[in-house]
Amino acid sequence: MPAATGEIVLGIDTSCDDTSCGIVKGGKKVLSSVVSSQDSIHAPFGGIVPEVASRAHVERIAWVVEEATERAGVSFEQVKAIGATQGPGLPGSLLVGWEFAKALSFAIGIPFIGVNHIEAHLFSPFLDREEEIDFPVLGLVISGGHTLLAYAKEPFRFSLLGQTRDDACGEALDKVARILGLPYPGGPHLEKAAEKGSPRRIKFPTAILPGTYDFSFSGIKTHAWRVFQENKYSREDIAASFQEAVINILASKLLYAINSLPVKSIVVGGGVVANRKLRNVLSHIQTESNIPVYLPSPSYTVDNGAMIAGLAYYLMKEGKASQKEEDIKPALSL
Amino acid sequence: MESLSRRCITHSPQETIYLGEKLGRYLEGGEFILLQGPLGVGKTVFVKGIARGLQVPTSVYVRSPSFTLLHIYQGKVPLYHFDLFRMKQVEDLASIGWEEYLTGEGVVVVEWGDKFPSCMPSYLSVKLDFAEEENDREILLQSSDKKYISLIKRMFP
Repeated sequence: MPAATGEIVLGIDTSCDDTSCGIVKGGKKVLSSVVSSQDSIHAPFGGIVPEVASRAHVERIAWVVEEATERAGVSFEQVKAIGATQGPGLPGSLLVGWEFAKALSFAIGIPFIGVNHIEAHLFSPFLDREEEIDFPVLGLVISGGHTLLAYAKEPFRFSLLGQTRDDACGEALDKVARILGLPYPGGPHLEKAAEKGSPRRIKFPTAILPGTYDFSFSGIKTHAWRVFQENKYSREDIAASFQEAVINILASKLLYAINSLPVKSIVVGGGVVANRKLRNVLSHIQTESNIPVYLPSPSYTVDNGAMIAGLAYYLMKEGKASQKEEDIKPALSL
Repeated sequence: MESLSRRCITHSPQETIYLGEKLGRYLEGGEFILLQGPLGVGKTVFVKGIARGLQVPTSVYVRSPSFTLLHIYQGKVPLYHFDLFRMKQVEDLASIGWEEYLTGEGVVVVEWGDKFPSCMPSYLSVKLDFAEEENDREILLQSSDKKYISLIKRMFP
């Protein structure tokens, strides 16, 4: 790892359901990453809690942070800054991580840095990566809550190119899985069903919104509902054709962007990165365009504190720190 | 208990927006709307209309909050758009600060609120459903609360 040196930064994310904390050295090397819904946590009185039962961030946050420091083998004295998600997200949830991070940083006497959750997703492919990623970078975030394209001429200064006008793509996949009666979580089950269907059986009226970088998935979702009601096609065919339509929309916007802007690298973040069909298409784009596509390792596709810590490190290097009076920004954009 | 309902048919997403916009113009803040209907029927489209009626700038995209649980829009009063589908138990509502929004000055629109009947205040119900023609939607406004009965009457004199 090239970044095994450098300061240690702790990052906290509580933007939505999960409470997460990550500890990162030199902005890239992840020492630990704990996510409440995925990690077992050592209970304070012995034993292991498989998943912290409470959904309340406030009851989980201290445990998650402590677990992250233990796993990293790091004491608070070694931490040089604390980053926390400032937005976008749920006000009540954001506030817990934000105030916790603020209090902790002032108690230790180190800088406290507000991080944009979307920028952190765009940063996630840089974590634990040996090779340098060349700029300008085209970034795509695809998750249950977000779908957007961004562009950065220089490191981590992303500006928004376009975003979804209705549903996020992960959400559309999930909802069509629900329409088809597939179990929760819908995305992976839809992908599985799609493997047994034909992606070309049903034609979807894909709204490409030409001349913009915006996305729309709501129309094809409604179309999937109609097709399912018609009872003419198998679930597998609807799943395969719908997935194909979603990936086509994403690919067409990526291609439009690399044909319109100077792009040296493509980074993709967010939970939908796990979709294998999409990964194939991205690797095809990489081969055809000769532009490398960088994906985060699976544990950093979901909301996580490590990406917050990593980006906070670079913000700290630029001398950015948040003030005590600063508040969360639930509607923060790029 | 007195109850009043009005049934409308819209023939395009645009008309669904117009109906939402019409409702939005009659809202002053403090209202609670329970939004129901199958996936893909156009609930978010209807909320887009409400946002327009509340003077949320047209440059703001109104998006589905299914994953994010809540979207907030700034109009003449705030608009809180919830989707409770992913909430599992009543306690989960507390973790997103549910109660605070009920007593605020904003308009609350909730999808999947019927999962938690004990947590819902009195409301205006808006039910969307597919109709015969592909782009037709049947939209039913209904309430047994005095405040909303009067609102429906003013909307459809």
